Amino acid sequence: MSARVAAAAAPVHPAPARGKSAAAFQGAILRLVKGGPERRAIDAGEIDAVVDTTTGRALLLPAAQQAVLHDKAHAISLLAMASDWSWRQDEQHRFTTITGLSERSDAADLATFIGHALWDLPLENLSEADWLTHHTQRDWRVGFRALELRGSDARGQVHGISFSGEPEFDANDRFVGYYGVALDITGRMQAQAAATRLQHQALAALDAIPTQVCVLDANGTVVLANQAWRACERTSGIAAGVPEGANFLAWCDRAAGPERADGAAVAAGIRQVMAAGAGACFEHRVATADVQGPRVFSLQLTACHADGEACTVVSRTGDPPPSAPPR
Amino acid sequence: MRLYIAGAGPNSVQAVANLQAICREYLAGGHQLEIIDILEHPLRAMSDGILVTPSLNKLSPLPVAQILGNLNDRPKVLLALGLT
Repeated sequence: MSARVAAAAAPVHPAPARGKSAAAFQGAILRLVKGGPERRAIDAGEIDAVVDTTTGRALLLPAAQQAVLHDKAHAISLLAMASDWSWRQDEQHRFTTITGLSERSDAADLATFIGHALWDLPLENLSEADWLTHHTQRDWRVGFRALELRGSDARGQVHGISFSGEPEFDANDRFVGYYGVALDITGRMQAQAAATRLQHQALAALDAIPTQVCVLDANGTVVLANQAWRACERTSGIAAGVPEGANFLAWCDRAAGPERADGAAVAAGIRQVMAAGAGACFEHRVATADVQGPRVFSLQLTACHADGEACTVVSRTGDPPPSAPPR
Repeated sequence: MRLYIAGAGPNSVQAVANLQAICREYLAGGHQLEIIDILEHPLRAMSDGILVTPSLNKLSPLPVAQILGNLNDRPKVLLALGLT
């Protein structure tokens, strides 16, 4: 059994009859909808679309048409907010249109993309493997996201652009090209390059220090070590030569034999400075012997914070000054 | 249940909101609802014999029922869905 319920209300015609086209529209609706419940629902203004059951095509009523158009305009506006410009390419992957350039200072440079494929442009950062991946995506007619490219303009200024695209097909399902959006990521690329440069400088400076230095994360793992630390052999006593990636704290905890007491003291020191927080220090002096004879070295632990993460800087120096008697 | 809608049409948007509220209040997750946008899936409307949207088809439990419109008339919708 089937029950059909139509909203009953005072008739409100959603399409105000005006002119020949309105009459034709009403005629089409009448032709498609003959049933009482459907007519009543249309008259009540509760229907958005009428379906032509012979073609499957939906005939939108005026209010729905307006809403769909508004929705589309809204989506386009959101797209414009989320991207710097949009583009379209033909079936040979050549740029055919680039929109949204009017207010850009580099509009002239971007306009030169027209007629060129992405791989024809003077780009600097993609490797052969990156291009191969991108070509494969295009061969498979799949979308791609955030393909980050770097290139220089005619004035030698470096620009970064992030491309995202989707394949486009015509009514016969024939591939007609790609369309998509682009984001100017020059600022981010410059910031990243500056950060990388700074990191390299900091590492070079750390390596230039003759003192053995390493940094432990909150778990006690060596996340960074300088050249002097790396060069120190494991046989040079407790805390020497623990490699990057190894857990220094566990190494100290596990120390056995003559190193056991020193290991336990250093492990306790690490936990102590970690618990005390940034700025807390701990020093431990160790007497040891290597091929050159008896030696004394000092191990300093300093707690600090980097990017919100607690860490401990471990520095290991050779024989302390005579005024400080060894333990 | 299957609810056929037409994109962001005002009645479609209202029907989805009304039906979701009814499902939350009366069915508490014990239901299956498929929302079909006929602008994206025109063949579904044709094959399912849908003439107008929004249109809600209750498929089970029997009896099946079809409710046309934006589902603003809650007592009538509840009656058709057998929830009163």
